[in-house]
Amino acid sequence: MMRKFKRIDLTNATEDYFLKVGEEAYISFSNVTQVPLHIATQDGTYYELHLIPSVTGGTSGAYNGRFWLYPNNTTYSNAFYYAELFRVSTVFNSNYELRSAFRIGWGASSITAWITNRTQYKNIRGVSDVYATPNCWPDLGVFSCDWIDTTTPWTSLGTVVFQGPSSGEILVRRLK
Amino acid sequence: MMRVWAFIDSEGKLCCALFPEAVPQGVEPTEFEVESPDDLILDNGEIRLKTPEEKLTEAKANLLAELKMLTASLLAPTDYVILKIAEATELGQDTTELKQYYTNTLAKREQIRRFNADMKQAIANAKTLEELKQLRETIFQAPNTLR
Repeated sequence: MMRKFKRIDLTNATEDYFLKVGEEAYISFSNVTQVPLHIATQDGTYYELHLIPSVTGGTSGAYNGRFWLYPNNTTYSNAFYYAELFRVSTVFNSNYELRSAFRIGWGASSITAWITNRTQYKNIRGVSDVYATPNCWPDLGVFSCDWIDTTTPWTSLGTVVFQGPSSGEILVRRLK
Repeated sequence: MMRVWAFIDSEGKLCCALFPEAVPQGVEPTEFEVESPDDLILDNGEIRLKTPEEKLTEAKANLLAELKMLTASLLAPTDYVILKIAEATELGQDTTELKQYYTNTLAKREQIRRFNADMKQAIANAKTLEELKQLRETIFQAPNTLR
């Protein structure tokens, strides 16, 4: 049976909201580079994230470049390992990178990801379709990003930071 | 450009908060205007902006790593041809026929290697981040022309 989530609109939130199990945060954004999720979190929680961009499909028109989730609205220098397999129109390739925040996408991406917040294991892994950049319509990616830190508490889910102005919607469901 | 509040955490790592209220209590941050938090560096305990030379060197290293992975992925599907020829050579067999049969594949591999060498040189010669950005576009369009 499909579970019905209670929707909480955080589009205009100014403070972090503590999402309960079974609640779904909704955030709409337009032409911005930073989207603060305004979701408080704690050790032992688990979420599902959907990023639904509104960039028009194609092979041009969107900027290139990685985009991020800054946990606690903060970057932590070289504390995140990112592994990815991807298939674009021309190649099947992979990436393994050391970064300063959770990498969750590239250019204009439609993403479904799962977020584990245990202070001793903090991870975002998911699947993405990058589109509207050369060779990418579609670009199927499977990725996992670990925060290599076992002591820093993750207290605010954080801010999504794009390389260029972006529009779309974000859903975050708390599953645990 | 974005504004960040940079600080050093309890483990000595450089951190950048997007809002002053995201800075842990008791920590004195330094405010910077940057394109990305990656523009900052911890240098002998001091947080400072990277110099243009440091940014260029870093961008070159990143692009070289991407080029290496792309080249490997372009060569990988035809590696078996090289193995076949090497195996035949090892067994003392005449490889002339094999090489003839795979003429197009071998030529394509040579083209990929030449492209890789040319791009490596172009990356080394690049003087600006903009040049590197354009080179990246060229590199990732390459599979279309190297098929």
